[in-house]
Amino acid sequence: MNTGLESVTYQTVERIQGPLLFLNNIKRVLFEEMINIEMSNGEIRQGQVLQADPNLTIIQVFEGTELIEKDSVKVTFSQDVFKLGVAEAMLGRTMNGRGLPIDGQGEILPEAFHEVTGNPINPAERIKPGDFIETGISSIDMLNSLVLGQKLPIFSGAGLPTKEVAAQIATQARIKNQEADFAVIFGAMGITERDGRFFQRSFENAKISNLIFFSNYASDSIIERLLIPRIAMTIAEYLAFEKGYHSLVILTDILNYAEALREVSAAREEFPGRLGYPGYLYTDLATIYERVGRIISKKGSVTLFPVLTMPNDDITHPVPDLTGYITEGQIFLDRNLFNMGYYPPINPLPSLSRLMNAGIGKGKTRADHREIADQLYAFYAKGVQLRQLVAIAGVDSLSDKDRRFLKFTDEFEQRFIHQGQVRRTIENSLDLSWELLRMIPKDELTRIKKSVVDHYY
Amino acid sequence: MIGPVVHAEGLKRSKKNSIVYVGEDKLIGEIVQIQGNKTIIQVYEKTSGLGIGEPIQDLNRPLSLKLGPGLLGNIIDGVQRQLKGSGYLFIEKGMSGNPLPIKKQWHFIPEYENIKEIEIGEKFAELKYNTIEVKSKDKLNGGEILGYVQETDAIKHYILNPPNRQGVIKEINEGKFTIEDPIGHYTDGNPIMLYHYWSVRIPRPFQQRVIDTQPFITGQRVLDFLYPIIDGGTAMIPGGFGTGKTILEQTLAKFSSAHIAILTLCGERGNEIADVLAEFKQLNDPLTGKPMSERSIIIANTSNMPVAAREASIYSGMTLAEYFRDMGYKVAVTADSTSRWAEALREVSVRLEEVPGEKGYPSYLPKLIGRFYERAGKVKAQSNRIGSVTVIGAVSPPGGDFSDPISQYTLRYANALWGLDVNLARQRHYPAINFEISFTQYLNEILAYWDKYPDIGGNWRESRKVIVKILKDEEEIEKIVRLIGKDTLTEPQLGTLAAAELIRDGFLRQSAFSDIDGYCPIKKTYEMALTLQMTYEWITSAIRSGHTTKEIFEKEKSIFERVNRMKELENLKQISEIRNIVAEKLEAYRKRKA
Ligand SMILES: Nc1ncnc2c1ncn2[C@@H]1O[C@H](COP(=O)(O)OP(=O)(O)OP(=O)(O)O)[C@@H](O)[C@H]1O
Ligand SMILES: [Mg+2]
Repeated sequence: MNTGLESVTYQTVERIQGPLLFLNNIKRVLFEEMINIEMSNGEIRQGQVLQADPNLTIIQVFEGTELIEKDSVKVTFSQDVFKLGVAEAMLGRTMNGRGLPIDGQGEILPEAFHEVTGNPINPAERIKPGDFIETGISSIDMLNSLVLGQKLPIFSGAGLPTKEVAAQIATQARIKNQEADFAVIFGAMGITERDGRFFQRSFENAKISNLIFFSNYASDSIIERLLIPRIAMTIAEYLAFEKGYHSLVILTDILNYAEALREVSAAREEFPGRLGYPGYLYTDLATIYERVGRIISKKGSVTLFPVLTMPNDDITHPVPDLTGYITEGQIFLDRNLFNMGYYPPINPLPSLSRLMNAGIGKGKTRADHREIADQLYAFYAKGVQLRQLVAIAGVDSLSDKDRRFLKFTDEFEQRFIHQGQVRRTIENSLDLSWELLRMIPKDELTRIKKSVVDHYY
Repeated sequence: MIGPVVHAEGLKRSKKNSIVYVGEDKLIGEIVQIQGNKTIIQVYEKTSGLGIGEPIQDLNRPLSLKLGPGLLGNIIDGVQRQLKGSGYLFIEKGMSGNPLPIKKQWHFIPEYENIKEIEIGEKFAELKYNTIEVKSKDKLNGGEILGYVQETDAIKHYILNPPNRQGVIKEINEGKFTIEDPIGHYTDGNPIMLYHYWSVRIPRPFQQRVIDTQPFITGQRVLDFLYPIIDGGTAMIPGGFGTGKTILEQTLAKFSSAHIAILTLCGERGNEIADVLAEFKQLNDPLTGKPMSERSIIIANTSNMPVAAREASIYSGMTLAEYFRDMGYKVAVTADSTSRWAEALREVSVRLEEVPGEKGYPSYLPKLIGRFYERAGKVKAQSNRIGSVTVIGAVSPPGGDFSDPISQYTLRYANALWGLDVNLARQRHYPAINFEISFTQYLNEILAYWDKYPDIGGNWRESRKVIVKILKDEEEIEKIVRLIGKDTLTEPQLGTLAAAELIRDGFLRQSAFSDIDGYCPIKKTYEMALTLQMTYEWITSAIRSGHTTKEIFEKEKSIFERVNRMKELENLKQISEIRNIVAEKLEAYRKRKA
């Protein structure tokens, strides 16, 4: 609510802890109100109300509390919640964790102001996602297809080529048969300088004009880190539902985000949940991830790739675990495949796109898509199993048939999974799939209808 | 004010659980604690921008549902705001929404049928009619039927006298009424309406529980055959992410033997709701041949909608179920996911600064879970009809580890456990029911039931025993294989592995998306099981006569292929044909032996 009152300034900071200010005796305050903070040296910072209580109001400071002096700091209550100025002109720009340009190309004139927390899409107004997005990567497009309006996380591990995969998707993704424009919103949270340079370079090389890059470095404020996904989703929604774009959002790394949330929670002395993460981590992540989707009466869509590192490659860690509980499948980067030198090291077996079926097939990709995907999956699963058997009992125990499967499995990894930075259209991927399937006798392709085999084999 | 919790001062004579409007936007809230002069409120809407000092209005009634025609096919949030056709693309704070359609006219007829239930095996109930007219001077007890409106083609919506209302009818009329038009009057002058309110946290009263077992048929072989439950029973589905909880719940809502399905989607995905809505519009259910939307209600509180309303949604779902139960229907309630409900409770509890129990959940959580599952059951309602509520709750344990508090508390109250297994799901074996941990406590009752209908379930007892044994043996043999490889296995062991593979792939595995196999009639389930049982006997006989498993499977490849694909057959005759072939083979070995 905007009270229409003049803003009020206080000088009653009681305590400073972590990124938080604790204030006493605040007469008028709104929940999640925007705050201006003036330091004795004239520096201005901004913050937001976390707890609105006359006796103890808590404010999180976007830039952090470093060097704030308790007695001299002046806190001004704006009488309004935090809103982001949004504009189509943000496309092509690089911005910080508060949505302000940092690329030296001048200010952006906002077309509208939106609350960054957003409002949940009315579930009754959603349409089921069902339009294929081509990421250009075979193991995603063929086996775990992404559709407009889906949230599909990438589960990775320390040292794996996560940023390469993220950048590759950001620069290569396309949509087919759609009139609407495509926009890529890339939110980087707590990344290293080195990663930042890598992303900048990738985006420059790809010469894409439809990308917005939000960056928050490891050394930047953690409160801004908490804002980035919300800002990214807010602009994505604006472009999608008011300007008709298909917004593809990539957020990396959710682990850094969750750690920032944990830090704030600890500073508030909240009851810690698993591994110290707050008990509301599920809900908090959901308020980001669930903003994707499509609305019946709107042309555009919001699609999301959250990218995260699993500490110690542990999928049961709260961040991948809760992410899995909210999103619609997962793309799994695999250390073994990486160690064998394959890129992108996407392992199809634990990967799954839950919305794939609606986005593939006749008129979308190709009629034989589902069956080939099932067949490749079955053969690869079988091949991997055979390898384990070989490890126990040796190659000698194998029949010719089994040997063929092993050969298929090797080639599948070398040619299909190991695709490098090249972009493959879905037709390329389908054709390559048939090339590999021809290694196996025709009558063993049991997952594919006979007529289809006869046509393509 | 922190998140969903607001502290208020100066509210006079406020009652716990009373509903209030908070602030100038009139956010809906509920009083959850009263401390001296302070009232603590949980708010069912987003509180950002709410200011200190804003007014609060006490509505002085508990959180209640408005129960009347217009519910079926609807989609509402946890506090009964209709989401369909509300005109809101986004859930905004202060969003208004009528609990029931207000313009729609209903044709009310003041009469109802006296129902006698006759069991006839699979179909359970044949209805016998003897119409009763409701008229002036009739004395009404609480919960009695006043008449009905034909709400959808599939379902008659019986209008019930409010459960705690007694009176004598002055007049009651047939005709077209909107929800706000009186359909008559009591002699005390008060109007008789098509709806009444009922508080969501209080179970609706009934005459008595009914102990008369009927199976709750799910159409899922692994459940109906291995872990069946009864009509009015309870089951929990714990499982890590992606193991198939939602798909299973939706499949049960679609295909189970219930008349009405209440889907409580509590803290889950918006896209799933879009999916259900789209599917229910087209899908004709095997019982009535009518679209699912005619006999289902969806309560939607996606994970990003306000948490307090998520907390309420579980109770709202249960209250709707009891309401239709009281009309004499069999109702299935699915709750996806009860873990998200418990988390919402925890979130509010933490903000209330309550002393935390296990893993931060409030110490009264086990009690609430118990109360929830205890609202299931088959009862003789106040209306004199027999109705039931069957509850199936999904549980989402952190890291897929069932030792978490919610799984453990629920285990004490749910009478069947359908545990989903991450590894099976990874192998794309659906439904990914884990055989080691799943159980049902209803086995004996259901065995006794099918004993009465030998032409359908006559062989179930026996084939279940055989198949369970094969699966158990397989587990043991697999352990050996993992240790020392396959080479040392004996022929009978290899035979068991092959049979188990056939059972898992050809019988237990069932795709929810298959046109023919999505729903498997109980008779077909039993026929398939019998065939598999005989196939196993055939394999063992052949091995005893000196053949190797490999030989048998290579030689009779086409028969095994047909056994494996029985699920794709619609005509039961075709299954018995396959069984006859197997029987001949088996007979040949028996003769040889003799
Ligand atoms: N019975 C089934 N038949 C076919 N596919 C299934 C079945 N059950 C699950 N699946 C597959 O598994 C995916 C995940 O299932 P589902 O959404 O039910 O998981 P869940 O346990 O509800 O996960 P979460 O806890 O994340 O909500 C589905 O999208 C589908 O691809
Ligand atoms: Mg689910």
